[in-house]
Amino acid sequence: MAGFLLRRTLFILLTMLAASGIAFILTFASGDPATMLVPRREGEIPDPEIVAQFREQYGLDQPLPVQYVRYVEQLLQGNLGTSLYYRRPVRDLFVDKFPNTLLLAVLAVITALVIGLPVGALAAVRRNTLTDRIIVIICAVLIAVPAFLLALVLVFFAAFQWKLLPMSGTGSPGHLVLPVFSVALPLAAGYVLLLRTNMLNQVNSDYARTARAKGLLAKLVAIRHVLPNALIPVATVVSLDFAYLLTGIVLVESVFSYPGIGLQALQAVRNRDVPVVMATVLLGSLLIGIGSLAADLVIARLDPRIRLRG
Amino acid sequence: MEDSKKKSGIHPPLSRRGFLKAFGATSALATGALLAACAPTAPQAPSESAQPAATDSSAQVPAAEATTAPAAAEGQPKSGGRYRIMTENDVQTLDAPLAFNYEDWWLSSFLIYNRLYEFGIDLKLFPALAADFPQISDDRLTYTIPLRKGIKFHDGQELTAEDVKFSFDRILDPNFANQGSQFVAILAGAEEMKNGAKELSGVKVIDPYTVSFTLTKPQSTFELVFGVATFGIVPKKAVEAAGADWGTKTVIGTGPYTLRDWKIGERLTFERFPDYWDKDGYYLDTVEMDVKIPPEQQVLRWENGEAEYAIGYPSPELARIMDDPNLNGRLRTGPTTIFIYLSLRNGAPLDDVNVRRAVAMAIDKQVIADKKRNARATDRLHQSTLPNFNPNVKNNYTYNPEEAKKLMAASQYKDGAKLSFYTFDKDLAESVQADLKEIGIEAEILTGDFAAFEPKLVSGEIQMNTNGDAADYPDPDQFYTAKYVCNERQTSFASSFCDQAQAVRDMLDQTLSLPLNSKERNDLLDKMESTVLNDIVDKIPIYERVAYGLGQPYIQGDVIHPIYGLPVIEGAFSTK
Repeated sequence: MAGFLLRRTLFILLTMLAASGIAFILTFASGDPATMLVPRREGEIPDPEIVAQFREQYGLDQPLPVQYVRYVEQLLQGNLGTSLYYRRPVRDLFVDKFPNTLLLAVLAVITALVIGLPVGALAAVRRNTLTDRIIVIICAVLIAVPAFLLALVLVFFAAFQWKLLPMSGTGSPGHLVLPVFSVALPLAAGYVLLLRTNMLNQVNSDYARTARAKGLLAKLVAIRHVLPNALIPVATVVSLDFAYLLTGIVLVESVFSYPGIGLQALQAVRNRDVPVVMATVLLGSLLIGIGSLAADLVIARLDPRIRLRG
Repeated sequence: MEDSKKKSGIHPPLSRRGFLKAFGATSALATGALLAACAPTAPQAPSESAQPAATDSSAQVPAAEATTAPAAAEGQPKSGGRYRIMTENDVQTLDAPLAFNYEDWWLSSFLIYNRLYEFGIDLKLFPALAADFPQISDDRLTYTIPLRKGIKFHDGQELTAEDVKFSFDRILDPNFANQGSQFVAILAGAEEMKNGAKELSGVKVIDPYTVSFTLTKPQSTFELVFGVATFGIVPKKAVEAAGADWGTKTVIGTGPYTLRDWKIGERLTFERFPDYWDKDGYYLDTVEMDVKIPPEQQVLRWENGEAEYAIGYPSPELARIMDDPNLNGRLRTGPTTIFIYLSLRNGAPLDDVNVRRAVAMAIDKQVIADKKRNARATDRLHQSTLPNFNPNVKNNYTYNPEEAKKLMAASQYKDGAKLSFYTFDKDLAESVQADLKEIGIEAEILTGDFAAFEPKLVSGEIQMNTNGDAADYPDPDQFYTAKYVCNERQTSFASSFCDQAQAVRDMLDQTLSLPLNSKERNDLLDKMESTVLNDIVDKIPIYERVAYGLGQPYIQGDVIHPIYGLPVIEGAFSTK
């Protein structure tokens, strides 16, 4: 177990290093950050002399490898650098925005589970009935529709037409409802179909047949025996989904002007705010790595047949 | 003087839109969200020119009439209320010298800081922190400025000449990259600052309430520079104490509003400063700016009454609002100093002046302006809002497609030509592309981040681009300063027709020593414009931007300022 954790931790660190290196190169390859970062009115062309001064002020005039080594050095000291756009510590920006994304992700996953698990179990128990078919069709639609489009439909009806909820922004619990459902509904649809399929597979397994042969009611077999086993793959997916959501839900955050790290990352890329882009990539690779690790640990815990090896 | 700052309001009732209209708006939001996610920040309204603020009453001021926007205020002004403005961009900094995009500029200029002199909506300069206009020495090199007494910063400290000197010293600190430095590089001691001098010898504290500025050579527009937004006066002690937190966590000025809260990427909240030195005309208790709101969403939220003013909107939405009698009256409108033009570079096929003239005559600017709605077609480089704009300057190469074809036939590219065209304005690009095709020029449109294309503009690999200017101060000399120069300094905006550019530069240099509003100077400026339009033909004016803001019927007096294209808070009040 300890060996397994060590190996996976090293793997995560290597992934972070590789991802940051690639992000660093790509950010510079798409144009000179200083040209975009010198304060200016939109569309204006900044004076090259001031751009050069800016480059020098922030060390952007150094060769790329030198800049990257310096970045890694400061990173090892726990310093994420200073945003070139906001001129504030990157750490402060993440401390400010990450809780918003975390809140959205947690609420979205909980909502998705609350909707997805019962509905998935219901669809499996009532397989091949009208209820099952309606559920499957709705889920297929929810999965097929892009999240931002769903978000727009929700905005149109709930906020614009019926004026039940705020259109965007933050400030009250009501502001969270539309973003949460925009994220949660497609997730829930995925969980429904996954759980339904798993339960149907498990229903025909030996242990389920045996339980039924002993006279246990089919519904009890489904709930007591089939459901726990069918949940194992769902737990894996939920872990990964959660990690993915924590890296920022760019489109949904953008539609709702929701101040999370996804929207922040989008703007950082547009502005070539290198330290913020780098921190976002590092955080993303870290979270995905941890999510993947957590999924493995959860499976090992839920399924005694699985052993983790170092 | 006070009058020069005032404005008025307009207001109609909120209307209910039909399903289709609303769905159209929502669909636009979808497109906006996608574009926001996929598209890079596109340049939009470049800037760089200017205009003179007439400090003498003889100056012609068409801007005053042109700037009329909202109607006269109908109700009696009363204190209280909120003014929330929505914008697509984020606020980058509240440090005055760095505040150069429109949002930062607006907050710095109208809420947080004061400058020694400021521009009214008629574009006239009036003393703000200065007690009077400067005394200018006979050699026109020294400006002595008395300060008002008893002015308080938001932290309670009194403004003194030391703060003024510190503010200017700071701007020329070589370790502090800022756009303001380009305006005051002419101050004595600016070069020494680059070589390590700690302070500017050209700015002297005469006594606690008098400061003097000395130039290395005369510059007729220098007094206008004091009104540029980047020259907000900051408190020396507070800036030094705040260190890296200045402009972000610590923001202190002498302006009418103090920063109460700044949620990065969300909202900035300001409240009225009770000890403001010039309280008359400030009625609103709080001013808020909601940032990073996509234009499509701004329209929806505005219609929902969630904000008092929206800056952004997609062109189709503006057309819908203008055509809706229930919404149209809520628009705030006024001219600006922003204008858009095409910049042509010296390379095939534009190395032939006949081709450049043909391009100028091929483009139907009216079609572009009509499509955009918030634009007025122009054949001029000097903005019509500028006080010394002369309507009689002639552009010989205005829209005439038949003549354009003849010019092409007379050029060395009579069999047709190709060019690359970088632009941030897709509406304009398509129209220009179609017009050029008519005269046998195939234009390849390139769009995207300016950073990625700048090297190709400098090298001449891209022969044509869209550009824009806005006045930092109301005089056209700024338009020529960086563009018409012939030296080794390669930039993407400098004219690449070096010899002719130098001729314009020589005229510009002559204007510097002439009195600001003299006929001789204005004649030279007109001649410079004519030379560029008719001889060099490397800048083709397309349209002037007309500002349209989405206001609310219960707000009056939020007139649009022509320099910023944004509403003025002084005089605005809520009837709610």
